[in-house]
This record gives sequence, C-alpha cells and structure tokens, in this order.
Amino acid sequence: MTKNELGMEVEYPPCRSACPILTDVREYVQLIAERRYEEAFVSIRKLNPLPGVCGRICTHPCEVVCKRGQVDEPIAIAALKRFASDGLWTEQYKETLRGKSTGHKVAVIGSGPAGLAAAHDLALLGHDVTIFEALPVLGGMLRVGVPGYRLPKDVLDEEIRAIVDLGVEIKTGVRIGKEMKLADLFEQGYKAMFVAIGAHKDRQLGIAGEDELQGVISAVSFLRQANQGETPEVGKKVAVIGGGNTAIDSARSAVRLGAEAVHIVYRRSRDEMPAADEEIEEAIHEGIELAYLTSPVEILGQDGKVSALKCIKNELSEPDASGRRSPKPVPGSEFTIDVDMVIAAIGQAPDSSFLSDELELSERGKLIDVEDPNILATARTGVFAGGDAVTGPATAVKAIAGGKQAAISIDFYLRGEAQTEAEPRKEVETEKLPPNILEKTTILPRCGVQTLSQDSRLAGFDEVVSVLTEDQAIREARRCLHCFMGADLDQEQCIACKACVKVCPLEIPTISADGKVDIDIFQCQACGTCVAECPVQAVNVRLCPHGHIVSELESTLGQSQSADSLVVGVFSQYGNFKADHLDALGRDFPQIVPVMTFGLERVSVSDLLRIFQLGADAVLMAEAPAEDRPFSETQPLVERRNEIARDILDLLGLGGDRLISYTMPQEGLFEATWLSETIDGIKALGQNPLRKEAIAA
Amino acid sequence: MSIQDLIEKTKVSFCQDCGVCTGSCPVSRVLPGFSPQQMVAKYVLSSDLGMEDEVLGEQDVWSCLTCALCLQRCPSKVEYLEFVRGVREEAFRAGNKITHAHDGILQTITQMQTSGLPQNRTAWAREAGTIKEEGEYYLFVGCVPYFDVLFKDMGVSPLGSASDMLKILNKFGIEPVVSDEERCCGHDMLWSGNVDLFKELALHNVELIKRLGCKKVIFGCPEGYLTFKEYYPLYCTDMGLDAVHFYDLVYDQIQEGTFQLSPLEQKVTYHDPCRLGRMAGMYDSPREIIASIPGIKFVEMERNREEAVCCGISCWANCSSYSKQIQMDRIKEAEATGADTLITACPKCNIHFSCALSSAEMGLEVKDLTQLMASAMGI
Repeated sequence: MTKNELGMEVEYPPCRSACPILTDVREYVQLIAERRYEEAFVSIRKLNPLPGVCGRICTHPCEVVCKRGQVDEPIAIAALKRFASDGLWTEQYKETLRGKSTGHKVAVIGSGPAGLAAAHDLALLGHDVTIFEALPVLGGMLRVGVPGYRLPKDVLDEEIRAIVDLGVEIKTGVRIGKEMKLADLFEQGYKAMFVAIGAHKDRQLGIAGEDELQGVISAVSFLRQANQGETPEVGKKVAVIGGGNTAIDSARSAVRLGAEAVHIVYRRSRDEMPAADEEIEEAIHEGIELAYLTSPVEILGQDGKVSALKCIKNELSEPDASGRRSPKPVPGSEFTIDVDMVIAAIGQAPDSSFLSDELELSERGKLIDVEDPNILATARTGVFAGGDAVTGPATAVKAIAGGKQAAISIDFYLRGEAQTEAEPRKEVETEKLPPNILEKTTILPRCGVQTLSQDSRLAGFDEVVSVLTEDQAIREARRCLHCFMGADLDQEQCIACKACVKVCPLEIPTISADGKVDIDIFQCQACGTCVAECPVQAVNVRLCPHGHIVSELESTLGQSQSADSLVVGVFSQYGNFKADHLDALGRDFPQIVPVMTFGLERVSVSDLLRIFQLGADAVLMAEAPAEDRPFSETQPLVERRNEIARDILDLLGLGGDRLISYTMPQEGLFEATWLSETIDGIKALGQNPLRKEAIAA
Repeated sequence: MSIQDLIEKTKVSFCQDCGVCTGSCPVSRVLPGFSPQQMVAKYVLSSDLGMEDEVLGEQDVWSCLTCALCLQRCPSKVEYLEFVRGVREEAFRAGNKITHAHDGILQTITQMQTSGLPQNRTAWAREAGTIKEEGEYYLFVGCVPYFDVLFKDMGVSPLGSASDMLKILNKFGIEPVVSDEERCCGHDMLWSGNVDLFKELALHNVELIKRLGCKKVIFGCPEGYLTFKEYYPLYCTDMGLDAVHFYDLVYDQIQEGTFQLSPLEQKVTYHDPCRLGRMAGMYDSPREIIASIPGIKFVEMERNREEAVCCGISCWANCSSYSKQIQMDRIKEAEATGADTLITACPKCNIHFSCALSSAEMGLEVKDLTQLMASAMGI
C-alpha cells in the first residue's frame, strides 16, 4: 500500500509498483482499450518525457510482474506504450504545466535519459536549464549506444526537441571537468548542477593481444561510430565478447555493417545472459552465432592484425550464497575461432576521471558518490548526480527515474527547503493467484509483433519491430486484468445475502462461518457483475463504477432531447471496433447516444429503467461477440436482467420491445442495414412519453 | 414546517429523557450510536441554537424504521413517528436523500408511474378472476405486479397472493374494479420525505377511484391500507371512500360461516407487520383467520402483537448488515416457536424474510396469509 497525494492509502497495481518512475500503466492500458489514444499518450507523457524511447527499449519490469503473466503471458506493456506514442496524437500533446520562471540557473551535465528527464522536469518547475554535452550530439547512450534499428534516431530527435522546446539551452561539445570545471559553472551563475555523464568507458578484456592488435575495439567506441552515421571498418568474421544488451547491439550492428559471420562469446549459459530475451532471439534470427560457456584467453594476430580468438570452455559452479553460478575453465578445452575483428562488450563504467578533483568517486568502478540514493545530492553543495554515473550501467528507465528524482531534489535545494527523506522504494512481489482463478480466467493470447524481413533488416539500420496495429493494440489492452480496480466491499452495508457469491464468474467472494462475505480485491477482475446484483449497493468496483452509465447520460443526454428519436446504445468495450467506428456511429446515426462500458454484466435493471426515465425511446444493449467476452458465463444473467427490465417496461406501458439487445459483428459496432431497420422500428414505436418531462428537468 | 414548530406539534418537548425509546428500539440494539432519544435531543438543541440546517444533513433520521415500537412505550406520548416524518420532509427539501436499496429501482418505478405512463398492470386480474370496470368495490393492487417481476427469483410470488385475494373475493360475491391507471399508494414517498410526490399520488388515486364510482377500497397490503386510511385524508379533503382490509372481509365471512375450509397440517406462527399492527391496530383478524383453518397449529412468537419487532427495513431504505441482524433475530424467534411456517401479512415483510432466509440454512418457510387461506379454501 502506498499513500497518494491526499494521504489516502492506495494500492498500486504490480506494473506500476515495478516501474522506476511509477508510470500509471493500468491507466493508459485501459485508455487504449477505450480507444482514447490521445489521453493514453498524455497519461504516459506527463510522467515520462521519453515515451517513444521507452516504448521501444525499456526493459519493462512491469511486464515481469504483470498479473496476466500468471494466467498466460503478460500484457505487452512496452508495445502499447509505443503504440500510444507513435500515433498522430503525439502532435496534440502540449505541455501546459510549465511553472513561472524562478530565475535560477541549473546546469545539467550529460544529455542521456537521466539528463534529459532532469532538464524536462526542472524546466517545468520554472528553472533555467542548460544541458552540457561532451559529444556533438544529444541523447547520450540512447543516441550513441542504442542502434537505430531498435531506436530510430528521428524518434529520439522528436522527443529531445519537445524537451528543448521548453526553453532548455544546449551546449554540445563541452566536456565538463576538462574544458570547464564545475567551479567555473558556479562562477557563471549556475546555482545547482546535475551530473549525469552516464557510463561510457569500456572495461578492458585484460588478455594478450588486446592493446596491440589492429581490429580490437571496445563496444562503446564501435557503437558510437556506427550510431553517428560513420561506417566503421568491420571485419568479415567478428567475435563479440560479452552477454549483455551492448554485446547484442554490437553483434547486430556488425552484421548490418557487412560482417559475414558474427560470434557472441559469453562465459555463462543462455539462462544467465543479462541481455533481453527478445534481443537474443532477434540476434539468432539474424544469423548470429552464440558461443555459451566460453571465455576468451588470447587474441591472436598476424601482421599486427587480429587473426583468431583463442577461447576456453567453462563449466558453471554450484550456485554460491548469492545464487550466482560462476564459470570455471575446463582444463584442456582451449579452441580458436577464426576472426579478424574482436569487439569487447564486457561492461562499462563512468568516464569520471575528469571530475575526480571536484567530486568523490567510489573506489570500485569510479562511480560518483551520492549521500542518499533517494535524494542524489553529492557531498558538494549544489551538485547532484544520477543515472549510470551513480548506479553503474543500468536501464534507460532507471536513468529517467534518477533524472526525475534529481529535479525534485534540486528544486527543494533551490527553494531552500529541507527535503524530507524519501522513502526507499520497496520491491513488491506480485501476489500469486490461486489455481481456481488461473483456471477460470479466460486465456487471451499476447499480441505477436510484426518484424522486418531478413533482407531489409540486414540492408541497413531500419527499425525492425513494427508498431502494433490499432486492432492489435485494442486487443492487447483488453487483456488487462485490472488489478485493484475490482470489488470493494462495505462490510457494514453487506447483508450477506450471497448474491455476489452466486453470480461471480470467477467464484471469488467467500462467506465465512459467521456470515461475513469477503471479496479478494487482487483476485477480482472488476467485471462488475456483483455490483449490478447487490441489493444494497454494498459492493462497488473502480472500473466503470456503479451508476457510471446513468451519470454519463445525465450529462450528455440533454443535448439530444429534441431529436426525432433518441436511442441510447450501451456498447461493450470488448467488441471489435476501432476509434473510426465510433466516429462513424456519431456521423451515420446521430440519434444514437453511445455509452461505453467494460462488459454488459455491469449494467443493472435499475440502470436500464433510469435510461428510459431520462427520455430514451429505446436502449440498444450491444454485446461483444462471445469469443471476445472475458466473462461469457455471465450471459444468462445479462439476459435475465433484460427480461426483468422488459417485464417492467411492459407493466409501465412503455413496452419491453424498446429494449433491444444484440451481438456486435466480428468487426465494428453494428451491421448498418440491421441498425437502420431497427431505428425505423423504434420510430414506429413512437416517442417515449417521459421525454418531455426529462427535458423539463 | 420548521423544526421548532415540529417539536411543538409532536410534543417532543415533553420528552423526559427516560431512554425507554432507545431501550425499545430494534435499530439501537444493532446500530452503534443510533438512539431515538438522542436524536430528539439533538434536534431540540439545534433548534434552540438556530442550527437546524446542519443537523438536517445527517443520516440518522433515515435509519429509523418508523416501526412505532417506541411510540407504544413512550410515557410522555411523544409523537415520535410524526416527528421523524416531519424531519424527513425537511431533510428531503434540504437535499438530504435517503439511500434506497435495490439501487432505487422501486423509487424509479414510482416516479415513472407518476409521469403519466399508460400502465398495463391488470392483465393478471383478468386471468385470475372476474373484475369490473365500475362498481362499489375497488381492489387496490398496489406495487405487487412490480414486486412480482423484481423478486420472483427469490421465490416469492406477490402477484400470486393478489390473484388468490381476487379469487377469494369472487367467491364472496365481490367483483371489484381494478384499474391500469392506479398508481403507487405513495407510502414510501411519504416516509422518504418526498411529500410533494406523495400528495400527487394520493390525489390521483382518490380521483381515479371516485371516477370509477367506487365507495369501498379493498387492500391486501398493510402499507396501502394504512396510508389510504390515515394519511390520504391529510391531503385529500372530503374523500368519501372507505378503506377496507381484505382480512376484515374474510373474518366477517368466517363468522358468518359462508365457506368451508379444508384442513392443513401445519404449525405456524404469525408476524405482525408494523403498519397493520401497531399503526392500524389490526391484530385479531389475521389470527382469527389462521385459527379458523382446521388442523393448523398456531403458536405466538415471544414478541407479538403490540410488542412485535419490525422486519428490519421500511420504504426500501438503508438496508444493511444491521437490517439483516434484526431480520435474523426475528427469524430465530420464529424458529424457536417450533413452527414450520412464518406467516406474514405484508408483501414487503415477506420479501425481506425470504431474502434473509435465502442465505441462512433453516427449516422455516415464509408464507403470505392470503396464500395460506387460499390453500385452505382449495384455490
């Protein structure tokens, strides 16, 4: 449980808890499912200035903890983020939150994800930000580390431009510590600075041949050249040493630059490989060979050039206390691989030597020391540090989190306010769903991804993975199980009538021997069936809560009252329609007032009557096709409620035939001919006599 | 009416603070903090301080069951019920609304009826027996056609009782008028503070029944009976209509010995509805009807007649775990008599006890008195 800004205890869903910047994943996934893409983008963008970047290269810790992952596979959260960020709607986002200028100058050193995030947030807080970048280009590792086939340069350009547009000043080609000292910046009037220089220094292999032979290159240098549009000389046969994402990036870049054969040499097995699984898969797909349990021993040369790599096979020891299995060379297992190029990708460290006279550095790894990792202030007043330079090589989203934290800390510092100690982030483990829930949950396969053909891939650095189609994105977003959006039971109100127990499609409510009902909010998937059934409104859900249909209609129906006929369409979000279908509905059938809801099982008889009381001539209950309904077992109940409502409408003299239920087609909201005929039929029934009164009210 | 005037009119100022009301109140027993005595004190104080508006927003006035048990026992004869009714009127005006069970569907139905929809609510009567377009007797059916649809899945059959009632009336030679134009009697609106709607319903029903040439209005429902008898005259002067309870008619016929009853082998107890017992004073007719059925064994519950306890909810308001406790206490009391059937005389009591029983595994059946009668008459 976490406290929100009002001090109320709120439960973050696992995805949000796992995200270093606490992205409201559940919210934007739901907005995509509702076809509200612009709002989904805004939800992401207000926290994250680099959504297009994260949509592509984030290591998505959110997906690891996703509740859906216990059932089948996690929601493709990163892919959905990219979908929301890639659409035209990104153009629509205008930052409106920029505060009044404080007049304080802040220097951000480094333009990687940490620096960019800090610059963005500091600018919004009203500070005058200048970014100092040692390289001639902005973006740090995002630009010079991550290849364009994973993160196209124009995507990065766009997102950086939006940050610069907030009034951030840029100084490239200035290495702080060398051309200019931190002290100089203070002298120039900078009141605070954020050091986010990343980790751009490669670790040495420490084997013979490394220093003297031509054809040995560090991954950072290799990728930097490749990513700045240079075409570094690439051998015909390349060995990449290491097992992280940098190794994979180097190997896949080498293939694109003309290498005929690329071997990745990794000392442990595939299971221990730190690179992302999907990256390893893509590398294999692109013909890269992986040599596991292999360590380089020596680089052999001929005429001063690399000619082969001598390796030794390893076996893994039993796991040590920390669970790590260390590689042990197998005596006599040496072998050589014929190569003419060796790329060393065995880890990076900050290139912090320039700052050693002004800042404290750690002994190991030369990381910049901060006093509290949750505040990021260094021992030097006014100087803050974050990102890879502090943590060592980590993920982009962690760097963004560091930048955002630094912006908050710097703002406190500049306002001269004491900063309360930030609570350390707790690792929250996702609760396990019991077997009966796993079994009852409808399996919905995770979306596949569209990728470039082999030929197009290897021809250059074009992006390999395509953005999800709208249809894919909607289906993917609909897989969300709505953690903690489910049933909230008021025990005092509850009369233990067992209505919820009887109707829950997942059989979640339990009743104790002393007659107390309990509904596990984590297990609940917020279908709302019980809400519509509870006789005393003791239970509610946060997804499309009780009464939402009527209250939405109360605010929208007024404008449509004078129309010839007025039909309310209650559409299940689980139908297969796109945003365009909704637009077409408004255009072609203006007499239909749509109201969207996640499943018709949450519509009560009372809701239906209230819609008629509000003056509707008819109500269309538009159900999703059976195979797309996550709770298809509620169908008889939905039909029974419709029956009850029709009987009451008959008694009231309005006529039950004004309540029309139908199943939406495989694509779209309705079948046009059928709907036209239905509308004619409704007109023939005459106007709802209650409409006049509803208008008056 | 201002709270000040209400205090005067309902003799609230005679309260001696003895606490008998709170000691009697079924709600006070289960709902912590609820006390009729303290509620009275609070309104008196707020009136003295000119702070009525603030207390009018509070919820406790809706927690009262208006069951009249305290009224029965108050040594100062404070008209507590009228006081609550008056406060509710003012609270409603001030925008403080009652929380209705069943998502307010019954209130929606009442409101939709009032909007002049041409209802179609007499089809059952034509099927069940003989009715007339005009005549001396009017049969006030009330909400039961709607209850029947809404609560059928609970196993109750309010319309079944109405059909039995019509059939029995026909046997007595009465062919009553039943009308599609009848609207809700307004009982729930009256006790929810919505007096304007109540008035509208009362005037409409009285005008309708008179237009149909009827003189006597027969009720099977205690709420309709009481409302028509005691509360319609407050707003309809010169009604010229007699409210007759169906049980009184049946009782008369029993005394005259006009029909034969076949024996029923059952042990039953009887629950006095608040509206029929304490408020309309009818305790004997239902008991005489039960006693007239050969073979039946009748046992009283510990708290009976004037001392009977409410079924836990009135006007579909504030049903909660507290209501359930009241119901379960009452059901256990019925079970303790050794009876196999709990006889009710009110469709709402029937629904509420059936609801409570549906989640409790007990060998007790709830049955409406009219339906019991019909079985004995071979209907």
